[in-house]
This record gives sequence, C-alpha cells and structure tokens, in this order.
Amino acid sequence: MTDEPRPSLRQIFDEHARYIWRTLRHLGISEADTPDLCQEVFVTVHRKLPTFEGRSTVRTWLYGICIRIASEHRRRPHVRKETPLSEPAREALEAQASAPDSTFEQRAAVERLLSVLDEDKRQVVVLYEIEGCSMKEVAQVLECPLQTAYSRLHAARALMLAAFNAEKAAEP
Amino acid sequence: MSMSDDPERLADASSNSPMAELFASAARDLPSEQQLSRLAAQLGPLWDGPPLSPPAPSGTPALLKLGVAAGALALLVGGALTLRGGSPALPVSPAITKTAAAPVPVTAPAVEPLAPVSAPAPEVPSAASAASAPARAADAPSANSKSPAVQNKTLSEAALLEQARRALNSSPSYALTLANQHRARFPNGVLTQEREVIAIEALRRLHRESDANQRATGFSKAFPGSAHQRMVDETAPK
Repeated sequence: MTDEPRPSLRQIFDEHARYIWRTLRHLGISEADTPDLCQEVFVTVHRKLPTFEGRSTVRTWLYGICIRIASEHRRRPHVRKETPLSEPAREALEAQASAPDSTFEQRAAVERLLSVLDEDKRQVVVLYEIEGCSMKEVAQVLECPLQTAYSRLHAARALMLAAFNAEKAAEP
Repeated sequence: MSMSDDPERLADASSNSPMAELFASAARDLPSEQQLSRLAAQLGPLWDGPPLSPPAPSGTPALLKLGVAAGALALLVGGALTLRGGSPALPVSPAITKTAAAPVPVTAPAVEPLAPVSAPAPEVPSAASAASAPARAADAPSANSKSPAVQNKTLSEAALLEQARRALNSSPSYALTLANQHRARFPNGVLTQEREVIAIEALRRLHRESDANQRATGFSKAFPGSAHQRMVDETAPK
C-alpha cells in the first residue's frame, strides 16, 4: 500500500485515457465500440476509486479493469456475432480510412497477428509487448502465476511468428 | 516499468524480431486528441461529482448506481452503455481484477477414438508462484528461457498447428492429419489446447459429429474453464 494521495478521476483520465483506449483496441474491441468501452472503464473507476487502496499501481489497476471489461464485452452474444476474435477489425480499418496507408496497413497487420491468439495469450502480449508492463505486472494484472504469464508469452510469440512467416511466404 | 530479467520486447530493434516494426507501430497507435476530447466531454458530469462510497453492490447496472448520485451522468453515458443492449459492467475488484487463468488439466482429454494419446501437459504449474518460477523453467518453457531447444520446439509446434489451421477450410482431413501428427510429436506440448480446437473443428467439417463430440467432451474435462471452450462450443451444430 502506498502513502501517495489517491488521484482524482480527472487526473487518472488525463494520464491514462489514451493508454486505456489503446489497450482496449488491441484487446480486440472494435473501433466503433472503443469509446463506449472507455466510458465503461471510467464509470467503473469512478465507482471503485474510493476503495482503491494502492496495493497495486493505478496503472496496473486500470489495466485489470480494462481486461475485465473487454473480456465481458466480447462474451456478449451480439458482440460475438459481429466481431469474432479471429476476424480482423474491418470496421476499424474503414473508420481509419483517412489514416496514411502505412498506418492503415500496419494496424491491420498487427490485428491479424493478435487475432491468431486466444484471449489469455492476447492479454499477455498486449500488456507486455505494447503497453510495456513488466512480466511481474502482467502476472499481477491477470492474477496468474508469473510462470504462466511467461509460458503464454512464449507460446504467443511462437504463434505470431508462425503466422507472420506464413503471411510473408504467401506474398507474391 | 520493465524488469531487467524480462525478455526483450519485440518492438525493441535489438530484439531482431521481424515483427519489431509492427509492434513499435502498435505502441504508437494512440487515439487522436479529438477522440480524447470527445470522451472527456462525455464523461464531464463525473469530474465534479464525488465518487460513490461505498461502491454499489454487484449485480446492479453501473449506470443505475451512478444515476442515484449523478443523474446527468446516466443521461450522457448511459445512452452508450444501455443502448448497446449488453450486460452492465461486472463489479471489479478494487485491487486487481481477475481473469480466467487456464486451469491445470487433471485428466487426459478424450481423444479421437482411433488414436488415443497420453494426457496433455498442463499449460502451467498449478501452484507456481513468482518466487518459484525460475526453478520451474525446466518443466514449463518460459519466454525468458534462452534454451534454443525449447524455443525451437515451440516454434515447430506452432508452425505445425499454423499449417493445420490454414488447412481447415480447404482440406479438413489434412488439418486433422496434421493435428494428429502434432499429438504424436508433442504429447506434452504447450499448444495442446490449440491442437484440440483445430482437431474438433476439422472433425465437424468432416461431419464426423460423434468423434467431434467425444473429443469436445474430452477437451471440456481436461481443460475446464479454458479460454478456448467457447470456440469448441461454437463448433457444435445448433
């Protein structure tokens, strides 16, 4: 538990909102649903902030909320039908049509790589490879043994590399 | 935030990963200031309202709880959440939220009747702890393990399954063959669950429902709570 004063919701928003957004997107939330899910995260933060005791950092606490909300969102039946895990986020690509081609292509390529992973492995990859958490923090956020987090990362990297190489090999 | 003994991140140029640039771009993929401003405006009523304390009991839609203390919030934020028709946000632990960790299989999965195999290796040690993690490196490959043999093994496991996955559409029988090859070559592999999902899907596509059901039942018993369970369920004929 830390002695630091509890941050206000506004402070949390200013410091972390962009990363929450990015995390949700890479967890497979569609571009269209991301603003709503971000709101849901901050509504939850607002509700839970009085009981936040600082046993973890604010950042890892927020990632835990993101993971939970994204996971629940994906299990909603209407979401499953519209945006299955293995399907690249087409609507996201359409919404970003004004982005430079390279950004567009890289985003699609990242999504294709992440989409070969199951949810557990994807969460580890997003937190470690993109969000820059330490593996100890990843295990803390996911409430799993550190070794489990390492195993998932290791397997995820192998799966992504295989998909990456297969895609490269298929290129004309 | 990184620990010195963590493996090098893919986005680090020094990782020499062919995926480095993609992951570097993913880290740069942040929302625009316009998107953030819009979000901040939608959350506006929260800024001035005091947080509710104690938190509302679980099972009640988040916005209904908040609506008592911040009616304006329900109008502004509630639309987005309730119109989606989904379930409300589940209660979140004030410390760290919990996600479903893959459990340790305790029994062998039921396998395709013609080719029984041994029990799959658990994905993770059941009682592994951070403190004991290094000592278990030999039992379960870890990402920071530098053993080329272990890494190569997982790579070839993944390559075989990737090949099987890609064959599912064009040739489910070949996909099943590859999945069964994986089972023979890597009876204690780290991608056992992934293999079983592919095999079940292949059996469905081959209209071998009885075999698929048997293998799916075995999967459920061997990997209760698996993140793949939903995919297995969704392959079943409606």
